[in-house]
Amino acid sequence: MSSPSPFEISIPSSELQRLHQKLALTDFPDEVSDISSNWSRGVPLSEIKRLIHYWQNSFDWRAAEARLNTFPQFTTAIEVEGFGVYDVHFIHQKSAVENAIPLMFLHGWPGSFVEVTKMLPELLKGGEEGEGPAFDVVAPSLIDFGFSAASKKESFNADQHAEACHKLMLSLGYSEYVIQAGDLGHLIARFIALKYGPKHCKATHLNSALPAEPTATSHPELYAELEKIPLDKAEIAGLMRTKIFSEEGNGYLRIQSTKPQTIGYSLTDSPVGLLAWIYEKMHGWSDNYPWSDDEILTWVSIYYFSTAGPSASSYLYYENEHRNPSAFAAMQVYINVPLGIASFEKDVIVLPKAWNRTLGPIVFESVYERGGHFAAWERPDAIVHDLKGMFGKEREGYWTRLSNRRKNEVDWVRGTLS
Amino acid sequence: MVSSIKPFKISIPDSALRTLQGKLAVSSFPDEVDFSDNWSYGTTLTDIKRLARYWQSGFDWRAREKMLNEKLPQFTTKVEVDGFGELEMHFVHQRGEEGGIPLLFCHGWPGSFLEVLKILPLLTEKKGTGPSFHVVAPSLPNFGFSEGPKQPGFGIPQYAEAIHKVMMDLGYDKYVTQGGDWGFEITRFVALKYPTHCLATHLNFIEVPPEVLSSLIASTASPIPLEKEGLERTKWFLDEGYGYNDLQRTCPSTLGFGLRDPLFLLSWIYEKLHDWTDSYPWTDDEILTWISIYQFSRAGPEASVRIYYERNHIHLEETMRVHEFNADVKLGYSLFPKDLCVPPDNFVKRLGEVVFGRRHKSGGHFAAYERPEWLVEDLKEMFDEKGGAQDIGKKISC
Repeated sequence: MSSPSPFEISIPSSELQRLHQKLALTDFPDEVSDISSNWSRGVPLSEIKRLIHYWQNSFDWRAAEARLNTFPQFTTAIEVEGFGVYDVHFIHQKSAVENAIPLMFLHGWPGSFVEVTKMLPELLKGGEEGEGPAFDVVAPSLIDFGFSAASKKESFNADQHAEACHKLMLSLGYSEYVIQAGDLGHLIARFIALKYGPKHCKATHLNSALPAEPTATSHPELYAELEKIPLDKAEIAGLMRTKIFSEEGNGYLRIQSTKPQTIGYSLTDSPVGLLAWIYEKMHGWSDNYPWSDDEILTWVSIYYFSTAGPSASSYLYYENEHRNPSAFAAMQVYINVPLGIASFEKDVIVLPKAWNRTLGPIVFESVYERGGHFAAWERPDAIVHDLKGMFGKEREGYWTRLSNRRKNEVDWVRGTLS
Repeated sequence: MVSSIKPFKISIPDSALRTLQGKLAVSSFPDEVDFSDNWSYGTTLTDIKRLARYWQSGFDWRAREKMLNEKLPQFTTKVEVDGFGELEMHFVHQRGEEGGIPLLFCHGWPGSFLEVLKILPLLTEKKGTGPSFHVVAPSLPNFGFSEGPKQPGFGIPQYAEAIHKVMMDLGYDKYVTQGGDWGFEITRFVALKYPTHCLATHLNFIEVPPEVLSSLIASTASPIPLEKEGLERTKWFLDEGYGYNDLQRTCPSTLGFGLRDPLFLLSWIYEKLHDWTDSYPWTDDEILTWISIYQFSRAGPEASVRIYYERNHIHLEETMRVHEFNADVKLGYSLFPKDLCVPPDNFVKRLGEVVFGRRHKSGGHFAAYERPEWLVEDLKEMFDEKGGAQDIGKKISC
């Protein structure tokens, strides 16, 4: 097993220059009253103009890069069966606390590994008086995202992503681990649980949940039970949000799932096209999160400067959709790996909590009024609270019961990384 | 009322050509992957690289501009659209022989007035007993060289009003229409709103409302192979080819920022030229002329996609009436197997009194460009002395 190489983000100056050349050539649509000034038809012109101006004149990528490089990053070669060997980029930070729980954080779209960083300090430290566990944290860039390699191949699906992420944990000496994830990351987490749980993947905590609706034929007992209980106000509101998303908010999903290459030319060749594409979701999917221009442009830059290029981030959508059964359908099966689910009322898909029982054994549940789709970024406190609760002292011995780890395995890991 | 009709020649400023070339010169292409040239994933990389390089240097826009100005006599006129003020409309107009029938040709997206290029000489000439037509082919507002509206809410009723008023300005009090793509809804609305003026409608695209579509596709009752093929094609379109529609109908502004990038505009439109036609052998010159009309359009390329949003969010109930039976207008249709929505023949009867119908064995969405002779033959047959709409022809010829 080869050891990981330390990694620092260092975008060549030539790429920065090229970006600025293109920014200088940005052509804006004409202003049309009411169309340009509000979010009804997409990102308003005034927002884009402001952000392009900032990107061109004030945004300091080198400073953003330096901030990102304060987090310990590595790359390591991971083989994916039938596909090849890929350099996977990841943050890895170990807790000072002994027997910390190995935790893999999986980002989604349009997020990145950076989404773990607000939670790191709290996750790494155990509680005083032994309250709350500590975690060793691993946060990869998914292949085709961030600073991981490009997949380059057809049919590189959620199955392959799951294999790569699982093997990453094994390569770091973590033969047992838990996962926290949302969005695309949660899809991959489900595949990991299905294929590598409960032996390796001991539990997952998800802030996205896409269960199928229980029917009289699919889940007769659950269905009968639910028929007796009316939906509460929050659940009805959640279904409304879900309906609006499926009618008005999933154009990106439909195009990325069918013509990833076509939309890819906008994402790759047009900085303003990429900015609008990503920022629309950062704004629309979060719960009034006060994004700073620096945050917006850092997130967008991670796509712009990604190793595989921005168009690669759509490929998993295409593969998921064309998988038979589709990846989204495949992950709706009951997976017998302990499951924690956090529901954020302002997320885009919010389904009745009871439906989650079709997904696996629920050992932890939470509902948050504040916070949206990017839970780890908007409400790091909530996710940390959940993780400490799910694996913590109140659930005494839960991790110990899950884990069969031998002491020397822990020592090996310490040795490799010292 | 004084007519405001003025002759028009396309004359794109040098600065626009230089801007285009400048942007293409700093093109960044997606990295090559195994499926870069697999059309299932979208517009192929080899084609885009070749087209981008040619567009940047080689493609002679001035020559194409000259050709368009020579072959398509163009004009502008100012029309009033209720609630939107005055809009300057660009259109092609060529009179046929004496006694010809005024014909309003309505393009869609990503089409343009250019689609009338091949059918124009065929429609205007008189051969045998077939009629001759006076052809009017406007750029829809927000497209080509027509002005775009400056307020939201410009939907199908407004598009219909705009092109109807061009006919009125030209003095064609009674006329017939031909349309595909958006032309289906727009010309059907023209017939609905102006029944004493628009007397017959020929369609090369029959749109089926979503709620009807799924049952139509599921139906296995159709014994005719061509109809079955058509329904399979429709299913393919909804499963694999509908993403552009989902986007344009929900976030046209977001998409619009990217459409100002010529490489993306090229990819976005060229995908349709490839996927929506029946193996039409596009030349690079044809492709780039087609897309340049969007690149150099008066309202900007992003304006053209607003119709999807406005139609779906505003005046939708009124617009949906175009899917109901209309007894007042004679209906003719030509269906092509590689079009996007190809319903069975008996479905078309739900729309009106069908006086002409033909299901062709080849051809796709851009019928006027791919199968100009067949489309003109169909039209001439429809309005022929012995045709289903011959009484209309007699009534309105001028």
